[in-house]
Amino acid sequence: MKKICLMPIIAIVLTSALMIICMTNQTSWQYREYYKEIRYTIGLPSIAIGTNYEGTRNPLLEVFVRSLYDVPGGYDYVVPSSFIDTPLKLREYHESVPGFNMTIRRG
Amino acid sequence: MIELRQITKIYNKGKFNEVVAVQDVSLKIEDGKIVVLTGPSGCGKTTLLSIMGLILTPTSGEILYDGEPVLESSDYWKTNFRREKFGFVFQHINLLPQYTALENILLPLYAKDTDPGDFMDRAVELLSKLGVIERANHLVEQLSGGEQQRVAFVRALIKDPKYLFADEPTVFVDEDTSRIIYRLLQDLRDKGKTIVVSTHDPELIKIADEVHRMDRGRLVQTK
Amino acid sequence: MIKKHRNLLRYSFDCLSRYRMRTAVIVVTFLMATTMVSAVLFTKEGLEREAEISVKMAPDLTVQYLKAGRVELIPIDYADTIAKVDGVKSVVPRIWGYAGISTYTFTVIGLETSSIPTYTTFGSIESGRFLTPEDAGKGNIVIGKLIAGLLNVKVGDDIILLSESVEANKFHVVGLFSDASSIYTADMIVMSIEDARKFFRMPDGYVTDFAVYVEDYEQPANVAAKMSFMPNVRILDQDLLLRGYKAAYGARGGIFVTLWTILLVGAALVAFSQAVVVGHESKFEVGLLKTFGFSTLDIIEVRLVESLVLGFFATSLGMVLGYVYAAYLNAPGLVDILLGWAFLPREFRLPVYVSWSSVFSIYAVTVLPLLITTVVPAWLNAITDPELAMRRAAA
Repeated sequence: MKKICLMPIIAIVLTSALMIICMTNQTSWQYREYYKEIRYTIGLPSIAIGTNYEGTRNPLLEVFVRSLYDVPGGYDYVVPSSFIDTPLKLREYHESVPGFNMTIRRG
Repeated sequence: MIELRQITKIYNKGKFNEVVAVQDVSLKIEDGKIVVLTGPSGCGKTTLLSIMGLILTPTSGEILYDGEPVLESSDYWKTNFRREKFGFVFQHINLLPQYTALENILLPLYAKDTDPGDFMDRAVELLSKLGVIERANHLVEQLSGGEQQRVAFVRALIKDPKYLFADEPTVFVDEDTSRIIYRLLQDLRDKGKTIVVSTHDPELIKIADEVHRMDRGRLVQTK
Repeated sequence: MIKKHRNLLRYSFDCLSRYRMRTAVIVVTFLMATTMVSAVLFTKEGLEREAEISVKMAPDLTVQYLKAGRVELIPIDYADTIAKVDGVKSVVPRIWGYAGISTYTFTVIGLETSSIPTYTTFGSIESGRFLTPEDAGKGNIVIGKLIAGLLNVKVGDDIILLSESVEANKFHVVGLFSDASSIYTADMIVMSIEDARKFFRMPDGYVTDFAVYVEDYEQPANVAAKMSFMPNVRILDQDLLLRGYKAAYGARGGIFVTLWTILLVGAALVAFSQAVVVGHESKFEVGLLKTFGFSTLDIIEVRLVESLVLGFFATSLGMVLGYVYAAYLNAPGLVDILLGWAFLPREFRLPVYVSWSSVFSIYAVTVLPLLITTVVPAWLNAITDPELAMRRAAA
């Protein structure tokens, strides 16, 4: 019974390490800033990942459009809300079809 | 002194498999004596021993230690009382197999506010007295039945308890070990300890100061 | 009292090595489950966080043109109309699209060089410089690390890119984006709008879209509402972009997290079953300890410490491994499922966000069930007569 049990010591070390990782990670995110010059010049959000598919940079919709292969009806950007997200309800925009529709109607 | 007043123990009371293990047993045990409970198998001696040792609650009756009733006390109080005053030797020995002999002996000390290492000398002394000192650092499964029983005795005595309760201590051991146990019990009695033993062993009955015979849960004879 | 508690601690630690099989099973199952759940959670939250930051680099509004419900090139005349809307600070036309090089797809962006703000420093540029108004139509480009690595080019080199019309276009590299900005710029080729028009063979008078910046005193949503009189335009603000990204990452990540949470629950059940398996031995042990004078609280303390050590050991190790797997190894295997992309440039480091809520929720799903499955049976045995506990265990 006088044996030193490593497990509790390792448990404490690992838990402490995890807390430190958490703190430093949170701190590093707090000090992250966007590149102002990119905003005022290029202005394309999303992370840069080379792909075999187009649409990685189109704000918002190409991600879904490409996956839907732009079939009739698909280009209305109607996405089953149960799969992706709840339908967006925005006061500035009208939704002409149920679901996820970014078409703007005049008047 | 231990006093039992009309102790009754009924298992599964009110059910179809109700068993009256002990019925209306009253007796007094003076300090500094070897008291034997004997009788046929199933007569209730182990149950009565457990009740005396406060590890089994009777259905009815009273137990007094030095004139103080103990049954109404809290579980916490009874646990403390056991820790300070009792030592137990079980029929099936009940050593923890994954520990060594010495580790088993020191186990009861972990409940005390003391360093178990402080009792090492006493453990060595007792192990030497019982002839198993060389086996102190062996795992229990490496010990013979007789050696295990002797280690069990050391475990029971490590805290120098006032009362020792032993359930059939010689049933699984050889003659040599039995003789060591008889001598040990007599030494303890001479030092003023109170020893209550449940046994069939005629040699143990011979060295006892009192013998209480039980049958079907009742005390039928006292010598 | 201190010595007693130290004794109890020591006894708890010994129990861990005594019930080796139980310890091993719980450690292995919790480790596997928590490693994957934490890797997915940390990565998913990192991507969402990164999306939040990246969306801040979007213009306040992006204006696209719709024809028959599809996005088309927008007439450049719309810039004047947009600029006249109250609250609009500037309107920047853009021509941009995708170009394939080998099996990879890059983003080609053509900017109106005259509207590039004259910053003294571009923090995102590692070597060379950004475009200036003098670069209009000259074939000068600023490239990201991905294409630089692919073609092995540096500042001062010339490259030839094939356009959609299979024409060879020669470009001169004047700037290289930094490693630090790679997460946003790795796949970019930035050129003047004139060069982009030529590259994409885009008709005169049309651009891909407009980047619109609003005055500080205005809300983008209000300005967007004012623009709604314009026919056939779609206006996107930052909030919309962010929701889109969260939905994209969230769906995949959410499905994955659900699957692995189910696994965690399964691990908890394994822990429970192990508790049952060792329950008889444990029941006997509790009876024995009570006989020796261990109080009910002492026994609860022993079991509590035991399960806390076990739970925290396995879960903390799992989360640390999950973090290392995501942050340092780039989560091979997992990242393809989460992001669904064909490849990642080697410069790309997965953004990883280790939130307190994620950490505590993983602990809650692992340590708590283990505590309950260990402590409650021990307590139940401890309040039973020791003789009965030992006898039932033997039975």
